Amino acid sequence: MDRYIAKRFHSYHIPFSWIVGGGVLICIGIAALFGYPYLTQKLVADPDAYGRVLHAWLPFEENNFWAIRFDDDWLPLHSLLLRMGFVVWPSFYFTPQVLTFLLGLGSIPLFYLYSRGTLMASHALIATLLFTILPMRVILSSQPLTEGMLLPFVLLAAISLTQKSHLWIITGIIGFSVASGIRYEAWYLLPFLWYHIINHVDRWWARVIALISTCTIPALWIIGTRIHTGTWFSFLSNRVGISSQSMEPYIYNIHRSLHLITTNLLYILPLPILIFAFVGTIIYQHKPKLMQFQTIITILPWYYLFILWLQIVTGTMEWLAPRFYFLIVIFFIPVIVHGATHIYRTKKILFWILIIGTLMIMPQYITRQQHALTYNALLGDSPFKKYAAAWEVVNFINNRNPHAFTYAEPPGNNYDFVTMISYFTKTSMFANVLPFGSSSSPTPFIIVEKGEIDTSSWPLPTAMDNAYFSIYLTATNKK
Amino acid sequence: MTRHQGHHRPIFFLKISSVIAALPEWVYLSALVIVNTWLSIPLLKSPMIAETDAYARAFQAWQPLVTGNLQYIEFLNGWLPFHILLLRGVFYFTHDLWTSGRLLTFAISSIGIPLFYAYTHNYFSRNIARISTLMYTIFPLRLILGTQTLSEGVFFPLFLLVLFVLTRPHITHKTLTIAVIGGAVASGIRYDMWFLLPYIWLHALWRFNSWKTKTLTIIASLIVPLWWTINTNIQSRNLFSYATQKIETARIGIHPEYFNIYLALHNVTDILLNILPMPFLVLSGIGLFTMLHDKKTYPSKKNLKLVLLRFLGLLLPLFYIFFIFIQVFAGTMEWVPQRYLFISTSLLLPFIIYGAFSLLNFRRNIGIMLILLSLCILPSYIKHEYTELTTNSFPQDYNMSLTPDFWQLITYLKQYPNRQYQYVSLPQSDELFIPVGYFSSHLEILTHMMGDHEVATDNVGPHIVTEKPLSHLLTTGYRVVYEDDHCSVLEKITE
Repeated sequence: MDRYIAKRFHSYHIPFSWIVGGGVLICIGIAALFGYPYLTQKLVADPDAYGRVLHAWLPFEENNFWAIRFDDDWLPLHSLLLRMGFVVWPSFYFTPQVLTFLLGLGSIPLFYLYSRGTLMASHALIATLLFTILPMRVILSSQPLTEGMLLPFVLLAAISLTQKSHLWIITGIIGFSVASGIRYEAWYLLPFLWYHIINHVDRWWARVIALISTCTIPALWIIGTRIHTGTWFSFLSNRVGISSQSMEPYIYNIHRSLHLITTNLLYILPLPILIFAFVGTIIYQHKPKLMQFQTIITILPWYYLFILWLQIVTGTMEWLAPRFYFLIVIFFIPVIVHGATHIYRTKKILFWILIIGTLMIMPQYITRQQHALTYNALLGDSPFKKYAAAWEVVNFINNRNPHAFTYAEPPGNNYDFVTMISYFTKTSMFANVLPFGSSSSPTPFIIVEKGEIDTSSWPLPTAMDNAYFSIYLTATNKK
Repeated sequence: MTRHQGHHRPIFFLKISSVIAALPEWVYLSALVIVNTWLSIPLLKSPMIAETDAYARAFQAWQPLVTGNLQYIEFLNGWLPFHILLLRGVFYFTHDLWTSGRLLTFAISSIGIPLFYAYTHNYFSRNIARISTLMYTIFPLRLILGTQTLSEGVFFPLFLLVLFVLTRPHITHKTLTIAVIGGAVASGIRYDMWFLLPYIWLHALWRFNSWKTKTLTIIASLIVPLWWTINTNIQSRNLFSYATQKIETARIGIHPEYFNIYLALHNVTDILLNILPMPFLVLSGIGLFTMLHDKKTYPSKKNLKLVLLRFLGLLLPLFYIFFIFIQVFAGTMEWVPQRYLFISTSLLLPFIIYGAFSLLNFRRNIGIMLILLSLCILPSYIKHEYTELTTNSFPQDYNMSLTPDFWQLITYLKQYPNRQYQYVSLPQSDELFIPVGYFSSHLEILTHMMGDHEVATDNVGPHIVTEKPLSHLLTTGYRVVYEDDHCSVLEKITE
């Protein structure tokens, strides 16, 4: 049996050539070039970005470096990493952005190694180039959100699945441990990692140590939240209440939830590209001498998509931001390249139809990705303007020219009211993390949907009030 | 033995198909018609679909009857006349505004079942044709459209008739005549038939030697479109008024998709995924791809023209999806309801079955997974389709409820007894509700009929909800009882 597994599961040799090295370096250069403008702009209009920075900054400011909030849904390592950054360079907005940006650059060679698991060197380079210029990656790698920071660590863990050397397995476990402390998505790799360890670590005690070490961070977090909140898996149950309202039509409705998840995926991977992915998956499974890790790599994006769908259908996902698809899309890239090369070899006409279709879509795709991911469309959105209540809020913010919400100038794209509402609802999170008495509070406004939280005891002056929303001025603004 | 039976493996789904295959054709098709009747009766008994087109089409057929103008044809509103004339003919004999129109659609739509089988059998094995026809019979979109006064239910059987004749291996002058007549009638019902005309011409040009036949076929198939175009041109002084009159509404209605390839494609795919959820769509894609590549699809290999005709016939569903996409992109489509994709999705049904069989042979595990996923989706899919297409979830709709204006409006309507916003009730006896924002173009039609033609407002219910800019058009006999920035609710003045 062992011999069989060893035969089926031999890893690929990671070769190095000057062409590959040069190609990866060029990709890093392109990533730096594309990402730099986002570092000079203001943050994305996703309240999570501000929330994440605040989450790290406030304990740092109070000299409470190791503070971990177990009652929160957010895993702690991202905050800790940001705080480490603050120690070196205490710049509230810039440090987290630069840190994520550098890790984003580091993820490029890692992605090449990951792609090599299923693709030949030249195709893996093409995949790496696609990864580099993917608008979602470019934007998320310059924001203080967790996705950009998670990526290199998840890739380390994923690459280790393609290697049987002990050094790689240890590296994979380290990468996984860090990733599992940043976002829950990393946890989903656990079954694959366990399978890999069981099959490739020879000594039983080493296996046990390796298996236990993969569970350390998730177990510590679960126990910590249990102690602090009194419930197991509070990070899941916390969301049930919100999602039962915000995602009500999709909960336990297989058709609608699947439709939601597919149409949202189509925004990020338009139809011609998704066709490549389908073909890549089906054809790859048909490949002779298919190695197990290659099967894992091709099913990984579908597995992640399935879990995202499962979260929606079971009501543990309170909203569906485009960035929740980030890992899925990244894992799709090698499969897409594989599908494209297969179609190119077998059906050239179809290949060119799909490629031309993709190229025709690209300008508008990139524009929309910019709008959707940076929320630039918020102010210029014409359907949105119909809704007076929300419009008043945005107008108000726009007139005050605060640091946080003013970069939504370019008009004219599609954004719906539901997104707007989620946006405002999410901003109420500020209320939980913001010390209102603090003069150094970096956010000038708090926008709250009425009835969402009890604001009666707030010492903050109301800046604007309509039937649906209230805006409160913080200490920063008063100054 | 069909060509597909040889590959079958003894799994549950295939055993079912062999039981289905054992029945004689007439028994099987009769059983499907009975199933269709059984499923349609509840729909016929329930209130009409929540779409003003259904009401407006019936009105447009009914009003000239009141004034004794039986042959009246409205050339300016974009709707082709034959469906209206057909409805009027039935109204003339039955004097019933609602039920008779729906029964007529039901009867014609039922004829579509054997026609669908016959057409499908031209391309696929008997087994696949039978299972596809079963799917077509229980296809929610077809069932619902087949019981309303909308044109799709009447149009599609004629469309199938044309396709059935054209895709037969042998075609005679007699069958071609049937296809041309069917095509001419269908050309007067929906514009979708116009897109098929080049395909009819190709059959006439490539499969017949006589120039007389070729010329006559082309001329005969063009009579209705030309007659309509000339008359609309005379009345509107615009050669393509039926296309251009929608541009203005379309640019407002689907503004973001207008001249945006990416969003237009997304819009069409989104609606397509509502009708055929992802596993179905994947299976149909695989089926179509496999079918196009299967050499057995093209029996007359030496005749390149026949091969091409067969190839083009297979691409028809994609062709119709592409046309919807083009219309959305070009801004001549003011909205995209599911029924606009009825033709393409119906034509894709056999490919789903074929794709499932192919995948079971090619990648059995993926095939079983997709089939199981499709089966899991079915209950919520059917429920959703029935809600979306019939009673319309408008008042309960979560997205709508987040929108202040709609919310206020619904709150207002909820103060009344429930029936007041059950706009699906028969206007003749109860009320008419026009969902705000959806149907402004049809409001104009109603207004036109109610105002200029002095239509008896008995046909319209006590409450009409309109978009505000249009409310002033509807004031005759009504008073405004509710108003916000965007909509008005008008109540009929009763003496």
